[in-house]
Amino acid sequence: MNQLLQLIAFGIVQGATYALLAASFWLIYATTRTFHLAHSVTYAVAGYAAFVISVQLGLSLWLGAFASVISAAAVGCAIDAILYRPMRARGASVLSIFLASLGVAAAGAAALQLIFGPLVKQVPGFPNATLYLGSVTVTRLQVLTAFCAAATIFLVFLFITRTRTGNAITAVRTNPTMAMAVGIPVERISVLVFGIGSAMAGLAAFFETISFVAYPTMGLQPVMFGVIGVFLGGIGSIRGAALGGFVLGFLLVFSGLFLSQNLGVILVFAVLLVVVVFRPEGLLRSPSGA
Amino acid sequence: MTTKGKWQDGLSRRAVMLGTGAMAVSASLGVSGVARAQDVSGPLEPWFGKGGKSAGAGLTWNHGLNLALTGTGASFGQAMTRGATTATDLIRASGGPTIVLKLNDHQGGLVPPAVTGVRRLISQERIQSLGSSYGPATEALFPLIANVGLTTFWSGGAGPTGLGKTDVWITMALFALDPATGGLAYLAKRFPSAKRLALIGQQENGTAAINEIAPRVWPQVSGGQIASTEFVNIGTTDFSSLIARLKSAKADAIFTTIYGNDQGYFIKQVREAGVDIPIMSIDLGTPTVPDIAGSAIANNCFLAVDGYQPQNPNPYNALFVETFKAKYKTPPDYFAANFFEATNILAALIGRTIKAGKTPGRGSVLSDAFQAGPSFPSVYGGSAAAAGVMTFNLKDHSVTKPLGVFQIGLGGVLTKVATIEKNSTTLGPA
Repeated sequence: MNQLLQLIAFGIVQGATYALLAASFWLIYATTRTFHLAHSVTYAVAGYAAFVISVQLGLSLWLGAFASVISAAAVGCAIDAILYRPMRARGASVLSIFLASLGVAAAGAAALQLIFGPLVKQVPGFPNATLYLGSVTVTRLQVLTAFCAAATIFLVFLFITRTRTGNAITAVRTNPTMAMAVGIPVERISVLVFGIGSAMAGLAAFFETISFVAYPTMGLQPVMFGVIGVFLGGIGSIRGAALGGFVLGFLLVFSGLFLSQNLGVILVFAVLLVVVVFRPEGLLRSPSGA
Repeated sequence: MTTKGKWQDGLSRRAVMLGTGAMAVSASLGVSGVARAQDVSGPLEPWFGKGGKSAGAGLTWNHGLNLALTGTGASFGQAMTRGATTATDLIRASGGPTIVLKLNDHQGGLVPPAVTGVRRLISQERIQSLGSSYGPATEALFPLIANVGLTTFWSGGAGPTGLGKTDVWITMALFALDPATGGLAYLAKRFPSAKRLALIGQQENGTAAINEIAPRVWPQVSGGQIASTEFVNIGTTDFSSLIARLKSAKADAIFTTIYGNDQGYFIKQVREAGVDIPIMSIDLGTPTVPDIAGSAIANNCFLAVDGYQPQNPNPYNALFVETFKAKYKTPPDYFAANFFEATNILAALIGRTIKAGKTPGRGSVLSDAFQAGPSFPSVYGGSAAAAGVMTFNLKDHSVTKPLGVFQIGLGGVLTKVATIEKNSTTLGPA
């Protein structure tokens, strides 16, 4: 029983983080159809931004968090403006844009290594503590991470569904040609979703950095799981993507109830396979698009 | 253990400093001709004898290094390169051959770039010997090494697959296998009430320590039992699932072969989950582990390994550390130390070959030179008066090096708490 409760607690924490990443990737992919693998670079830049602000400049950890979010948004927008937009303007295929993104992901990690070196960068200072709920343990930082992730997803959900700009995003996502025809500035919407999606990834990166460390390839695995989460939950809505990310993270941990840790990932991909084959639209259908 | 060979007389710190200073002066004055003279004195003389033509002076030797230079293992590759470079500088200053390092990046252990890259080093860079790291990225080269006759020093991530392989010499303790028995014996002695041992292994390397050695040795040394056995994939950063299972197993101690950054993540998460039982690990080579683990690493964590200590007063090590720090402004680590030793062994073998009247090059000529004496100085072990010793097994090409159990402190600082022997439960004083 204790093991079950511990796995549920860890699963919720992990699931919330992956839900945030899936939602961030979804916002960009569903709106612009850009398979933005360079999201991993954005993620890593955010981690290093926290290091620069909170360690190298000696400013507070919360300024580091702000720097992570802002720098991630800036990098995401810059990649869209410098790389994707010109490619879209020239009618580049989805595959071409994907390959360009892959190139940025590889080159970006190498550039970060050149700038900061191959050693990891630690950002200490968060007053972490272990919280005991009977025999179940979580840390204060894990609780904060899960709360911030859930709150961010909820706020973005509200933004998309309750604001004019959110409606414009939905319009571009569902029918960009029609959206353009009715006067919605599609390219500005594109920049906006890159900014918001990247900022969400930046928040996740900040929490990973203060939990552990920043390093050049730190974004690869989280973004990959975020991508899987999107397709697991469904690309039709942010709720689907977030659910997919959560299920992914939760399953990875919860599989420990009956599988060794190294086999947990097999269970996740088995579930993904079943979903893709028998429910290709993902776990959550959402005709409303939200 | 101390040396008994030519370097046995030891060297005082003063002499080391003088030697280093002489080297620096020589370098600054650009006295390149010194290296070509006969009977050249130099900083490595106390352990390898005088330099000069018979030691390889004037000979340019291309030595390949197959390392992780990019990706998550890039810090290993950087440290290894620095260790080897430090050795080449000292060898040249001591009247030995000019060893030119030719690098190949296997991108963190990937086989295709390892094989393709080393082929390039052989055909285009004309390397005459090779230093290599990682498991699969080195194992995949064995056929090529045997075919070309490329004397190879496996000095990082070496495993038992290299035992007895033609022209492959393992210059480090076998990962997990050599120190496991001694580490378990120490754990049982230090924590006599610990009976239930949790085993946590990592795929790829050292699995025999988890599957064979620990289940056999632990009941013998503690009278206890194995509480659980788990394996994790390389690159794991989230150990939530494993920790939940670990807590459920009610273990009294942990023996783990997790290595690399994963170890830092593991230790940190275990401690944050309120699990305070002793952890015996077998690797702390990755310099970033203490950063990742933070203060958790100083909480009841031990290491059974050929642990490298920059502060070891052994004069051979002192020379290495001083030279390394002068060049890179940071102390060397385990990986740098291993490649430093291996490169010096290469130079010694070249010298032996020349003195034997043969022409050093590819083929078995360098491997044959091991027969003249399987022992070499080591930066591990030893004392303030003499270098440690590493002794090769001429049949299986493994090495016996000074091993110890260390208590891990903040920042990964190691305090030796016991001396252990390869595959033995015998414990010696620190």
